[in-house]
Amino acid sequence: MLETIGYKALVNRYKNRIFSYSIYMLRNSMDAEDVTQEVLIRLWNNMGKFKLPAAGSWIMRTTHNLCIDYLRRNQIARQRSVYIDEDDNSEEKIMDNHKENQPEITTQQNIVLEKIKNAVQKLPENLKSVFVLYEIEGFKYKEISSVLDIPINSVKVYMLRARKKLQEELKDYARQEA
Amino acid sequence: MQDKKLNNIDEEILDKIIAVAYKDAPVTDRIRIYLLTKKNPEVKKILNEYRQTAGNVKKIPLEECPDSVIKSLETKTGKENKSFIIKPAYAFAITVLVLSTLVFVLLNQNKEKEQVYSKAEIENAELQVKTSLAILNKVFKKTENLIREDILPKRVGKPVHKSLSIINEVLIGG
Repeated sequence: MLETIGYKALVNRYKNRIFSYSIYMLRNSMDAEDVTQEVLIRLWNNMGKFKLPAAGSWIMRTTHNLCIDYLRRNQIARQRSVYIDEDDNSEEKIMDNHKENQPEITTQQNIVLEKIKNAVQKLPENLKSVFVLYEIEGFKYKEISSVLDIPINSVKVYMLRARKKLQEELKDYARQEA
Repeated sequence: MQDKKLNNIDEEILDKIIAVAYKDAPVTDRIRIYLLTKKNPEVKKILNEYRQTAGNVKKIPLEECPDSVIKSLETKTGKENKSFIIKPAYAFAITVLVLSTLVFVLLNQNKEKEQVYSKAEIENAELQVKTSLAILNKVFKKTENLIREDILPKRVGKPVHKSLSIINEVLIGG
């Protein structure tokens, strides 16, 4: 009974994080769905084998390992297109979807965010995993070190490199904005 | 362009600019970079570029996990889930049923015991007690009479009297 309640709480808390991480790593929403489901099934099968406070690290480590397995098995990172560019007209999509009071600003902001997401997805795997976990998922350096099983100093170095690389990717846009 | 800037600003300063832009630099570095921006417009420009990106990165929301994933998950882990939920429910229902049956039986048993003794039966029992007491009284009286009239004079008094007269004869005669 308690395990079921704990499991549901963990699913609610981590489902979006698992899915987000998978989507950034795999660049494909279908594969991200598969990984999310697989992680949650493994979580159910392993409930009680780890302490609840350590569940976050366990879940993200499993997600990361599964994503790496997917990438190695299918080499989808090279073969498939970026999930944002699935239709090649994501900007048009965003233009159609705005419902806010200031449509121009919202649309512009969405385009910017999509460009950044796109740039994040183009980062090398090791830099991307650290960047996504820190900046998007909100994990701390220590937690990331535990999830990815790398020294904390490496996490900091990867983070710095990822930020620089991202800036390189976005330099045209950033200059335009500045 | 970026490379030219990097030539002017060393790597260590650039790292600090980035940390300040992403708001995870220590206070000393923030002050240092703030002072540098006042002196060097290039530092300010780079800081603004990184700030712009950092601000947008912080706005990126988490992707929503589709409901279909969770629904199919429920069907895959459903059996085990149900067993987890239903087992205690069954146990609880059975316990309640057994307890209520026990309480009901015990209460009914007590009630039956109380109803067994009717007034007539009590009167009958009283009469029986009186009769038995009367019989006992009769027996005791008979015993008393036997002891007083038969045992004491014949079996106790006579031998005592006989022995005393023997002693007297011996003493007087002696």
